[in-house]
Amino acid sequence: MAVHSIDEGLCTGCGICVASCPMDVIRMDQGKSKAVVKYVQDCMVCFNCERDCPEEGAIYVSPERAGYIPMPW
Amino acid sequence: MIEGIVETMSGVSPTEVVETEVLVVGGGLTGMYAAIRARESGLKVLVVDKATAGKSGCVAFAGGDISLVTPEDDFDALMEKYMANGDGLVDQEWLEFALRETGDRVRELEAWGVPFERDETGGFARHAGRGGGALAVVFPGYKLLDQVKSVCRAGGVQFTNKVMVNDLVTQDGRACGAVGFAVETAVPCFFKARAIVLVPGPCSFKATYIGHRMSTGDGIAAAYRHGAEVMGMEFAVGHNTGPRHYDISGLARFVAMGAKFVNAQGEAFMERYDPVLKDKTNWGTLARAMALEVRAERGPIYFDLTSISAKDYDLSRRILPHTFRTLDRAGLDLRRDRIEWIACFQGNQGGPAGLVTGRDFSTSIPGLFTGGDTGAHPWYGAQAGYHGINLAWCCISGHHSGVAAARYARDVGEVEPDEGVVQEAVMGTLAPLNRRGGKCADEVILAIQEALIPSDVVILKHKERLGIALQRIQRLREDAEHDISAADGHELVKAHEAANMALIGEMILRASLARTESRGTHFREDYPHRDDQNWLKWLFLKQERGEMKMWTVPVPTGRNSPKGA
Repeated sequence: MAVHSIDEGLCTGCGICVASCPMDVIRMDQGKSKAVVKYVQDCMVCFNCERDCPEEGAIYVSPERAGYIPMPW
Repeated sequence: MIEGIVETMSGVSPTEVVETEVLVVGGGLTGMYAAIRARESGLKVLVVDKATAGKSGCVAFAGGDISLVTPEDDFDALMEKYMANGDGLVDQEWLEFALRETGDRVRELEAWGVPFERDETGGFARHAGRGGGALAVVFPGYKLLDQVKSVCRAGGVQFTNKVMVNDLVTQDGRACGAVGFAVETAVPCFFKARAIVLVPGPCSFKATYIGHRMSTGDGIAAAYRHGAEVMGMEFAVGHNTGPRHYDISGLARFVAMGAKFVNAQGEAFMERYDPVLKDKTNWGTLARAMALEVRAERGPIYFDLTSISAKDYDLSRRILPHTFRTLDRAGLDLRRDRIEWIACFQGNQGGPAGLVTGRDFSTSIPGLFTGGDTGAHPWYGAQAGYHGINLAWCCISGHHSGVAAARYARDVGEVEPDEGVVQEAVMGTLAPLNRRGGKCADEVILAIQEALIPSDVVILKHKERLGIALQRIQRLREDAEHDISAADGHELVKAHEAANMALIGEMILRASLARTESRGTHFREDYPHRDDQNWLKWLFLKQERGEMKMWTVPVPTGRNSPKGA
């Protein structure tokens, strides 16, 4: 669901995905200098992170919503 | 930029103080357009965004249709179309002002490097969309923002990202600063400014539909708490539509290409609800039609794109990369698969409701300007979701609010805000961090959504159901304002978002109860007819002595008499 994974091996720690996430889902792990998915429940599947990541294949976003949202009917 | 650290009260983190001349809250299309304009006058301009300017806000996820009226268009016929769609409440002077300015703004965007497509005659290539209004040029929203941000940077506009502004500071009734906090650290910040352009966007209640879950009405709520006037909230019930299980955009484009809504029996039912525009009808009629079909046990609703040509589908793929990435990953092909479709609640996004402004986009608080979906759009009338006009409006309102804020900032002297007032705003901002054992913001947000989103609350309205929802929302507003605990900056954002959504939900329900007729997106089952005798009026509201006060203001009729369906 949602931001499925950030590949630690491919992530260079550039921070672009952290900046491009509108929902503060991704943070930098300061110890490892890698981006990590910290608040996946708030991912809105906008693909900003995957689109802006300069490392092909480092981030994969799954299209399903992260959490439950009430429906109109 | 002058930066410093002042100690606030004991037990509170030091507050970062940032001084600028024009402060822009919200780094979307409206905010960055205003920033460019204000910066041209030589003033220091700072854009603050709770995410990252240019990466967030509604436009970042828009297909990128921008209305463009050209001299070849029949201007009077266009005016008539918008007035009919606005169902009698269109402020026609505003409408004419907006439509006539689309050309200047599109040409300016092109001069800033936005590569709009040209047609074989050398004119702008324009496309039709939902609603039958002006044709639009198209350029993907996120790329548009990238380009506008590069113009900001080249001009010397400064940016502070990942800071949520959630309160204003006034001195002698004048806006002179804003208080917020760093999202990652919860460290509070005070922005001192001579003028503020407050444009963080609409309140979309974190509901379904792509890319609007950051829009929680933060600007409308902050200005309201300082006495600003708000209008049109009974119409803050716009619904786009999308798949039940995925968040994508592209409705306007797909219906223009011939897509149809069908019910469970396979019947294309829109002719029943709008015999002229059918599936290309406005948002209000479409949401109501879907809800009524489901209520009549003819649901679920599906979106049928089988008649779309391969050429049109490929064009959509280029314009809507996000939509197709989602569909491809979900293994869906809109031309092949029957996909269940629902109405997606968007609050006041793309509708008329917002902060009341003058023609210079000043609010009722001196020094505070607004635009985009934070400001009201009295020229939309009672309807929402016109194709292309929302992005045009961001540019138009950004342009004028930037000019006016810069003029105001130049003309007024320095105002030194009272230190105690700033400290109080900081304490209020950080309060959820200091509560122990309170409610979690997520549970309050879910309860707000459950109170508002059901179609028999905000699509098919009725006095009894509105009253029950209002009681729930008022309790939730109490919870959100006084009883949410936050452990870190991320949770602090959501605590304030919950409070803002509850407040705006209360405005919507109160205004919906007060308007005892049906018009535009506001449909009352107990008052199903339009009542021009009593309701050629806007509902205004403001906070007075802690209470939500509401009153009516007649709609100016301008050059023509009001018309409409």
